[in-house]
Amino acid sequence: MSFLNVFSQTGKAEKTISIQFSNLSLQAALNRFEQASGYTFFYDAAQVNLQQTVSMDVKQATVSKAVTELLKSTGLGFEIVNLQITLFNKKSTAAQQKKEVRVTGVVSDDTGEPVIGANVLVQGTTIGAITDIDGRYMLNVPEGSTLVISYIGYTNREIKVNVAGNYDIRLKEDSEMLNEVVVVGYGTQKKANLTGSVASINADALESRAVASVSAALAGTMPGVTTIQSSGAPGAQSGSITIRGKNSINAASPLVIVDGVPGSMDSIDPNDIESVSVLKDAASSAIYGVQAANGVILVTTKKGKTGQRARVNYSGTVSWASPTARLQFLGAADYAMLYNEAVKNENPNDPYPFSEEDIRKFRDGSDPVGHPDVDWYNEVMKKSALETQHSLSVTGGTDKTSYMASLAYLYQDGLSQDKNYERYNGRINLNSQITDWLAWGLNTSAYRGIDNDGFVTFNELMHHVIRIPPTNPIRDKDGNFVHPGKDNPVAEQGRTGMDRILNQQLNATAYLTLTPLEGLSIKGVYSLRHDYRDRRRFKKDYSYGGQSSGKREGHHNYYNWNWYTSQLLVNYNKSFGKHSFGLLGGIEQVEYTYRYTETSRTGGGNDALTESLNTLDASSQKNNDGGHEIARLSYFGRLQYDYENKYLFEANIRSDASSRFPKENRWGVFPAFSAGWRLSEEAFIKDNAEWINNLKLRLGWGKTGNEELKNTDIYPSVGTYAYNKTMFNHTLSATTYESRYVNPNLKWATVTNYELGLEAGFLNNMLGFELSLYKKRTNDMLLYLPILGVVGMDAPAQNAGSVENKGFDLNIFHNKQVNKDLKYSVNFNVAYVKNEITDMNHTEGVDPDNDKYWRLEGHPIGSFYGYVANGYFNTEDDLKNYPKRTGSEKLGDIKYKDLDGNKKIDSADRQVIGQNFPSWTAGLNLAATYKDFDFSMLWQGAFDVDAYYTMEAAYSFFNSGKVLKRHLDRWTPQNHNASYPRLTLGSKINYSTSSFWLQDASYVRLKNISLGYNLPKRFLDKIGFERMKLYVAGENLITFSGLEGLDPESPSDTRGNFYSNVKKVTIGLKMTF
Amino acid sequence: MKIRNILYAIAFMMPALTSCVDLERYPLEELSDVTYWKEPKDAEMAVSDLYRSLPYWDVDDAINSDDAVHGIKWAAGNISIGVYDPSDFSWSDNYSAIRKANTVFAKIDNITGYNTADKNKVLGQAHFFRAFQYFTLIRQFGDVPYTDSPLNLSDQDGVKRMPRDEVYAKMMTDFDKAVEYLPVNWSAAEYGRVTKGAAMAMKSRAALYYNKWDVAAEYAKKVIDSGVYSLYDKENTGKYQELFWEKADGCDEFILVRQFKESENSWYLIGWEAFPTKGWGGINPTQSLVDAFEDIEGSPIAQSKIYNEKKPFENRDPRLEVNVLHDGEVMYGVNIKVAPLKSSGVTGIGQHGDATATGYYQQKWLDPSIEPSSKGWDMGKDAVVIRYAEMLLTYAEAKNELSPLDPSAFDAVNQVRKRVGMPELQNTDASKPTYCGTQDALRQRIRNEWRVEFALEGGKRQWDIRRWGIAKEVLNAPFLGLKYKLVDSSSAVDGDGGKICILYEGENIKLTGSKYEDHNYLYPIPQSERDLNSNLTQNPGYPN
Repeated sequence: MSFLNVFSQTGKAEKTISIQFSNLSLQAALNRFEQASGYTFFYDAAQVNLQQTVSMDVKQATVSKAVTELLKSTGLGFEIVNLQITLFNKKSTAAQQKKEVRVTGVVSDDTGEPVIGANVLVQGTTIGAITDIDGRYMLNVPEGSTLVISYIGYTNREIKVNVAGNYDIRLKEDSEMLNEVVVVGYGTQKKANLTGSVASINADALESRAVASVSAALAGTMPGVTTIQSSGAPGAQSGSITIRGKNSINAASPLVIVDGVPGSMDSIDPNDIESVSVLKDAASSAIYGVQAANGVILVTTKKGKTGQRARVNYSGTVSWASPTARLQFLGAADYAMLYNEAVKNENPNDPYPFSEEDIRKFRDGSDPVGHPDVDWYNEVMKKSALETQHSLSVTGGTDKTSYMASLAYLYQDGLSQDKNYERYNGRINLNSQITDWLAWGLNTSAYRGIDNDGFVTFNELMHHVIRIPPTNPIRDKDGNFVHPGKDNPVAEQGRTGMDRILNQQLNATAYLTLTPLEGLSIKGVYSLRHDYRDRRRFKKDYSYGGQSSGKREGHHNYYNWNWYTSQLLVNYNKSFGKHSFGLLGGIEQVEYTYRYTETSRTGGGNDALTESLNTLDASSQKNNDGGHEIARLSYFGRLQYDYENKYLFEANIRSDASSRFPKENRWGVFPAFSAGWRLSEEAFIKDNAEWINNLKLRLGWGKTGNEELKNTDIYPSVGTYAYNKTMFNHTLSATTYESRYVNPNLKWATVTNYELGLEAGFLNNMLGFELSLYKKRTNDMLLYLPILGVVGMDAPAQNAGSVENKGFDLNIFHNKQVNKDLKYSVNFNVAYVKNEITDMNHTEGVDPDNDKYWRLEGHPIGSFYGYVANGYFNTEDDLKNYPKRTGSEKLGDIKYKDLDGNKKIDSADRQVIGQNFPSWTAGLNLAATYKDFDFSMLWQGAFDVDAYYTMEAAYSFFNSGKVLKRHLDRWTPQNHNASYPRLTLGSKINYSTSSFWLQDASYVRLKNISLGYNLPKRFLDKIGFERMKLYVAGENLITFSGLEGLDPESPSDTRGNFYSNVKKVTIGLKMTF
Repeated sequence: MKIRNILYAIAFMMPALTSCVDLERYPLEELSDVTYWKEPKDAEMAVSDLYRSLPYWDVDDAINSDDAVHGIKWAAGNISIGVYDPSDFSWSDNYSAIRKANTVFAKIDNITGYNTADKNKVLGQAHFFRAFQYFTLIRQFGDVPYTDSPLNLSDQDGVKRMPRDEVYAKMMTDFDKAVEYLPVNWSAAEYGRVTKGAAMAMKSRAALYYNKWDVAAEYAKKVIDSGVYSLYDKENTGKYQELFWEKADGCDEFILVRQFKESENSWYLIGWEAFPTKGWGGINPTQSLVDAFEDIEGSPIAQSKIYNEKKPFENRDPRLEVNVLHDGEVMYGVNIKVAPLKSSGVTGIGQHGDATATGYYQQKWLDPSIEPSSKGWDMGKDAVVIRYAEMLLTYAEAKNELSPLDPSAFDAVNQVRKRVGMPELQNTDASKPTYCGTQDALRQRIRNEWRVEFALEGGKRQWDIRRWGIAKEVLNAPFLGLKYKLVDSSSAVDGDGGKICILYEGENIKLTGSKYEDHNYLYPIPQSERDLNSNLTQNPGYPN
C-alpha cells in the first residue's frame, strides 16, 4: 500500500505534546487533541464511533505516540500526513472489495507550480497517497470513488473517478477571507457566515505603523469608518471616529468594547492588539442596544496558545515628528509696509506709523533691538520632536494554560519646550482549562499616561506665537525679555509653571466558563475598570518686561471613573444534519460612577514648590467635588441558523434599561434581523463557474438606540435644585435655584437601519469586493430644542427631529503570488455618505455652540451657512450700484451675491456654503513582499469637505496681530485680481461668515509608507531568533490639499492656535525569539 | 456527571440572575423635588438666589450713551450708534429671575408651620425682584410678556406681549407689596438684602422713568425722610472720590448694592477699565462729557469767564478730576501721556491696541488701593445699584416738574452740589452763574447734575437721555475726543519722527457714523423669541 511513503515523510522532527483527560467522548477528545496539537483529524463518520468514551494522559509524547495512546481502546488505526491525522477502522478497510482502477496525475497550484506533499485520499476510506517532488501521485482506487485532494493553505478539491486514467488537479489557494474568524458582539463568527456588516483589521495591519493609538491606525483601512486626526500633540495623536455619517446633531462616538467589556481605544498599546472589528450596521450592533447607534468598535488583545512554547517579542521605534503644515507669517519689513497700507485704508488722514527708514532697518537687520525681524514661530517651535516606543511581550502556554504578558513604554517629545508625553502600558491575559468542563481566565491591563505642559499650555503659547508681530523684539538691548503689550512666547517658554495631566487605568476582567453539555457553554464575567485622572497646574511668578504675571496659582484636580460590568452569557450550538443553530442569551449590568475633587489656591507660594498647594495662601482656597452615577440593566439574545452553510439567518434582540430615563420610559427594545445567501455554495455556481469562489448576498434590518444626552443631563428625569452662592454682609451665603426643567416624556432616540450587501471573490479569491448599501434614519433625536426665554429655564432635552444617512461602502481587493519570491496585494476602499437633517421640528437655525454652523432641513449636520462672496468692489461704479451689506463698504471690500434680488445684502442672502464632514472617503493600501523585503503604502483621502479659517488664521492684523503670506496678494487699486480684500486693522466689515473664508479641505495623503527587511532564517537560526525585522516608515509624509498653511484634518473652524498634525519618519525593529 | 455539571451551572448562574442593579439614581450634587420646599430655609435660600440677578457690569454701559466710547478701537457702542438687529438681543436672564421669584410664590405654601413675619420677608424680596425685572424689561422693550407663575413648556404657545402700561401697573403693585413686607433694616449678618428703603427707591426710579412725577417725588421723599440714608462725605471734606473706592463699602449713601469680596466673589471692573497696560483701557470719556462739568463758580463752560481751553482741567467742578484721567496725571505710578507719539509709551493715542480713542481715560472706580493688573481682575468693591444722591436728584427733578422752582427742589439738588463744594443753584441772584430763573433753566441744570454726578455709572446716562427724549439728538452728534495737533519741531524726541504734539489745540478727534433713529428708543424684541412664537410682535422700525 502507498501508506508506506507517508511514514517516511513524517518521520522527521515530530513535535511533542502533553495532554490529559478522562472519559471524554471521542469527538470531544479529538477536538481537544486538535487544539493542543495543531493537527487536524480526518475520518469517515460512518466508520468511526464518535460517542465512545476515551481517556488519556501523556507527557512530552510525540504526536504519533499520543495518538496511539488516544486510540488504544477504540480499534482505530491512523496515519499522519503533514498536519493531518487520518483515522480508519482497522477491521473494515480490508472489506473494500470493489473493482479497483489505477489513477495518476499531477497536483499543481494556481501558478502552475507542482504541489509537493499534497494528500490524495479516497473519500470515506483511508486509501490515499502523497504527491512527490513533481507533484505526481499514483493510486489504485475502487471504481466510482471520489478523490479528495488537500494541502495546507489550499481549499480541498473533490473529483469523481469512474475510469482509470490521468487526473491532473489544480488547487486553489485557500482564501483567508473565507476561513477568517471575526470578533462580533459577545462572540466570534466565521467571516463567511456573517450576515451583518463588520469590518475588521488584525495585527498585521498595524505591523509597521508608528502610531501611538489604535484610532489613528484605523484611518483609511475600512470603508465607512471616517477617522479624522486633527492634532499631532504628544499624547493626543488619536483620531475621532465616525461610522457611516453622523446620526445626530449631538454627535457621539462609537461604543468601544475591549475584550468584551466597555473600554477605551487610546489607552491600549497598539502592539497588544490582535484585531479590531467595527460593527457598522444594526444587524451586527443591535446586540449592544441603546449604546450602539453610532456603531461599535470591538478591540481584542493578543492571547497565548496552549501547548505553545514561550515566545518573546520586542518591538521598538524611533520617530521624528514635525508639523505637516504651519501658518506662513510675513517678516517685519513686509509687516510694516502692509501695516502702513492698512492704517491708510482705515483712515486716509492718519500718518504712516512706519517710515521708509523703519522699513529699511527691518529689512536689513541693522538695528536688531529697535527694528527687529522676529520669526516667532521658529523662535518657539522645534524643527522636529523625537518619539520612541518600546514594547516587550511574552506569549505561550502549557497544556492547560495560555498566557500573554506585555510591557510597553512610549515617549513623545513636543514641539515646544514644555510639552511632552510618556505612557506606560502593562497587560496580562491568562486562560486556563481547569477540567474538561471548566475554564477560567483573567484579562488585566494597566496604563499610565503623563501629559506635561507649561502653565501656559501649548495652545495658548501657539496663540501668543501667532498674535505677536515680527516687529516686536524678544529682548531689549540689555538682554531682558520685552513685554510689548502682548505676551512674549519666548519669555514664557519653560518659565510659566506646569500643567500636568496624569491618566491612569486599571482594568481587570475575570471569567469562568462552564461546559456542562456538549455545545453548551455558560460564561460568567465580572469586570472592574478604574480610570483616574490627576491634573496639576502651577503658575509660577514669571513676570518679565515690567509686566506682572500675577499671583502664583495652584490647581489640583482629581477625577475617578469606575465601571463595574457583570455579564452572564449562555451559548448553545447544535447541528442536525444540514441545519446548524447557534443560540446566545445574556444578561449584562453596568454600573458607572464618576467622582471628582477640584482644589485651588492663589497667592503666596514659591516657584520651587510646584507640587503642593500648601505654601499658597490658605485664605484663597477653593474646592469643589461631586460626581454622578449611571446604571444599566440589559437582556439580550441572538439566534443564528444556517442551512448547509448556504442560507444564513440571524436575529438579535436587546432590551435595555437605563437610570437616565424616567421610570415609565426606561426600557427600550432593539431588534435586528439579517439573512445571507451564499450563492457560491449553490451547485449552479460551484459546478458552472469555478472562477467564483465566493458570492454572498446579505440583507439586514434593525434598530439601535441613542442616549446621547449632555453630561449635565445624567438625571434628566429628576427635577433638581442646585446650589449657588451670593453675599450678605460680605460673607458668602448658599442659595438654591431650580436647575432642571424635567421633561417626563423623554426616551431613547432610535436609529433604524436598512442594509444590502454583496460580497464576492473570484479566481481563487485573487480578486474580489465587498459592497454594502445602507440607509439609516434617526428618529426622536434628543434635541435641546430652543424654548422661549420667557419660560426662564435652560431648554431640556426633547425627542424631536430626524436625520438620515444614505450611502455605500465598497472594498475591492486583489492579491497575487507572482512567483516564489514576489507577492503583492492591493486593497482599495471607498465610501460615500449623504447626511441630511430631515426634520428639525421647526427649529431650523444656527447651532448654538458655533454660529458658523446651521441646522437646516435638507442639509447635512455641520453645514456652513453664510453669504456668497462674489469678488470685490473694484470701482466707484461697483460701490454705487452693487448692493451692500452695511453701507460703509469701501473699494476693495468683498461683494456678496444678492440672492433674493432685493438690492440689499441682508440675512436672506445667506445659504449653505459648505460642510465640515466629508461625503467621500477613500483608502488605498498597496503591499508587496519580495524575498526578505516587505513594502507597504497606505493612501487616504477625504473629499467634499470644507474648512472655515478665521481670525489669526485668516485676517490681517487680527487683534493687533500679524500678517500672513496670503495678505501680500491683497486688493489694491492696481490689484483687482487679489486673493485677499483691502487690508484693514480693526474694521470687521469683511469678516461676516461668507464663502470667502471657506476653503475646500479635500485631500489625499500618504498616511503611511514602510519598507522592511526580514533577516534571513539561516542567520537567525545561528543566533537563536525566530524573527527579526528592520524597517523604516513614514506617516503623513505627502499631502495633496488646496489649503495653505493648515493641515486638511485640522479643526474645521479654526483660528490656528492648536497643535498641528505631524508627519513622522520612523525606524523600527521587531524581534521574536 | 452531566447532572452534576448542570447543578454546577445553576449554582453558577444564580448570583447573576438574582442580583439586580439599582436603576433609581438621584443627583449627588443637587437637591431634588422630593426633598425640596419642605422647610423655611428652602424658601430663604431660593429667594437669596435672586440677588445674583442684580446688575453689576452695567457700569460698562457708559458706551451706550454720549459719555464714553470703548477703547480697543471698538468706538461707540452699537446701542448708541443705532447699529444692531433683533438677533443681538435676549431677555432670558430677566425671565429666569422672574421664574425664580414666581417659583417662590408657587411653592412657599408647601412649607408648613412657616411664621408669617419670616414668610413675608421672603415674599417681600420676591416681589421686589419681580418688579425690578419687569421694570428692566419694559424700559428696554416696551410691551413684554407677563407671567406671575412658573411656565411649563406647554404654555409657550399662549405667550404674548402685554401692553406696557398694564405691566407697569402690575409692577407697581409688586413694589407696594415689597414696601409693605420688607424691613427698614436687616440684622448685621443680613446686610445687603433689599430693604423697605430700597423698594421705595426703586419704585421712585421706575415712576420717574415714566414721568409719574407725583409717585416719583412721593417715594423719593419717603426715602429722604426715612433718615436711614445720607450722602457720603456730605460735609465736603474732600473725600468724594472715595465714594467709588472699596473703602466706601457699607456707607449710608448706598441704598442697594451687589456685594463682592476679593477672591471669594469678585469682579474685574478695574482690570477692564484701567488704562493700558495696567488694564484694558475699556472706557474712554468723550469731550462731550468733559465739557459737561461746570467751572468752579457754577457756570457752564460755554458761558464761563474763567475757563481756559488750553488748560481745560483748571478751575472745574472737582468731579471732573474724579471721573476723567487725562494727560499729565499720574495713576498707579504711570505718568499718563496721550499724545499720538512713540514717546508717550503705551498710553498714547494709537500706540497700543488698548490705548484711548478719545485722548481721555476713565478714572472713576480706579481705586489706588487696588493693584490693577492683578487685583483689578479680582476686586471686592461692591457694585452700587442705587445710591442716595439719586433720590435727591429724583426728588428735585420731579418736584420742579410738579411745582416749578419749588424751593425744596433747589434744596435737594444743592445737597448734591454742596458735598463737592459746588455753589448752590438759586433763583434769587441773576448776576451769578448759578441763577435758574425759569422751570426749564432749573430742569436743564438738574439734568446736567444727573450727568456729572452719575458720570460713567453707565446704568444711568443711557436711560436718562431716553426718558428725556434727547437720545436721538445727543447720539447722532459726532463723538468727539480731545483736540491736538502735530507740529514739526527740532526738540522732538528720538523716534517721534521729528514731531511734537500740542494738546487742546487744533482739531478734535472725531468719530461719526451714528444712525440713531426714533425707533431706537425701544430695543427690538429678541429674534430668537419671535422665531418660536409668532404672537410676539416686533417693535416698530425693526425688520419684521
